[in-house]
Amino acid sequence: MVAPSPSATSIPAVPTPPDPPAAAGPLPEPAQADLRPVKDGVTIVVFSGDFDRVQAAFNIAVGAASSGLPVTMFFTFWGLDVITRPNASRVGRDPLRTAFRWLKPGGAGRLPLTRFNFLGLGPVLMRRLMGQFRMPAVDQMVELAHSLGVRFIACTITMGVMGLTEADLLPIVDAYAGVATYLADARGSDVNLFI
Amino acid sequence: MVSQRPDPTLPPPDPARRPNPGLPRADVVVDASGFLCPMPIVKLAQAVKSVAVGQIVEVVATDPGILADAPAWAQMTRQDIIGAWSEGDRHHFWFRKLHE
Repeated sequence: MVAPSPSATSIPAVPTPPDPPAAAGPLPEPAQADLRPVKDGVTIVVFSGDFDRVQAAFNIAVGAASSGLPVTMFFTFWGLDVITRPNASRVGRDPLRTAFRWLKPGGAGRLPLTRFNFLGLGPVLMRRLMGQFRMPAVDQMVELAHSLGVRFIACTITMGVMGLTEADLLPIVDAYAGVATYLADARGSDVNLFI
Repeated sequence: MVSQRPDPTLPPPDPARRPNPGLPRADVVVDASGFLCPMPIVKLAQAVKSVAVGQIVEVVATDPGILADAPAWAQMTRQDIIGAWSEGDRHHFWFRKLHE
């Protein structure tokens, strides 16, 4: 007996769909006016709470704001650490969130490095090196970005998960919002980053 | 005149030592020597914002990134670069403010 060739194995013939009904007329023309917003701006999702990544995000934000571009930074998950008050309350609304607040108190001065963290020694050395090179550290960059008009949006969903309230965040936050606000801003931006 | 001179270890730029007398005369000089990206651009933008249309801003920077960033900034903001000159690792750019 000859093994069936692969082409002969059992792929059922796809029934041809019935012809579509004859179109009543030509497809409607797309609207003439282009209603999309003018794409001129920068949107940055700050997901990471790592010192080095956040530094890069703020370099881009500050550079763009200095070049006359509207900038929106959307802080979610670990990125919320950046805009958390250094002295924010460590009491959540239940024991689990309180434990979370103690384990991850947040604050732009407390961010760990992606690499070479060495239990917190790495960021201390990095801050000293950056000081020698006159680079503003993350907490100064936050102030600089705010003074240049960068829009800060805090993600309310992850705030709830992490037990953060509006009182725990820096007063520079412009809006507390969700994905629709981010998307509305991103659709009007031609630079859109996820860091 | 706004003059920001943050790094006392570097000698100040000396206008008399300019080899080319045809370089523009600035209304505002921003010394970003010793500052790294993005601070030279931030200081440049602040200075250009502070002057009137038609005035000239000179930025001095030691970060070599300015060589690419100054033209890129001018293109983005549609301002005009009217001169550039490097003296060792100190780079000068002159911008004329074309619009607010």
